[in-house]
Amino acid sequence: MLEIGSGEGRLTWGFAPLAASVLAFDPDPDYVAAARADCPQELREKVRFEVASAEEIEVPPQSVDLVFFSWSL
Amino acid sequence: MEPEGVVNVLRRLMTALVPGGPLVDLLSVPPPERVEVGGELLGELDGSAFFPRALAAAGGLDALAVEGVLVHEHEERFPIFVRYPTGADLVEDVAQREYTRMPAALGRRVRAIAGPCEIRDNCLVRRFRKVA
Repeated sequence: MLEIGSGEGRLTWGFAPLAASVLAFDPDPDYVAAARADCPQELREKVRFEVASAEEIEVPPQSVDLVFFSWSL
Repeated sequence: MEPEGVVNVLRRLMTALVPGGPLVDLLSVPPPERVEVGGELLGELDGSAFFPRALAAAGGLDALAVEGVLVHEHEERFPIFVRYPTGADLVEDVAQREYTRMPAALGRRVRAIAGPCEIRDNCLVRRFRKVA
């Protein structure tokens, strides 16, 4: 799944266990650094955090099953 | 982001979603966030700069629904409470925000709170589905 506006990952931790993989973006590098640092060990293989705004995100066509905007537009 | 820009960004992001896939949008909506102590209202944050942007952005999804790119399936409104150990913590957190402001008089009252307090945020979650 694709999460846009992941912040410090507070919502990511809730749904990531249910997802096959999560690609999470936030434009704030401090938030992304915090999310990477706080990512639970059991989720590190399936969650990837990247710094990018919605305008900058590049994702291959038809590559995600669900898109989640969290306070991000 | 301007509304036209939002629609263009959304249209591009929708290419990443598989046909028939869901899109979930979570946003804050009016009325403005309330500062509360033990359930008692102290005052409201100033969302006058925030809400026009948030609602215009949400309108981008509505525009794609009108175009037939998405179908709006469901929505729910609910409050989110953000709790702080002291009023000073709450004031400092709000000060980090880009578009929401703490009114000065309310800020002075909140900063004087030595114990726990909270912000009640009114949220809307909407589920859309990409047309196959």
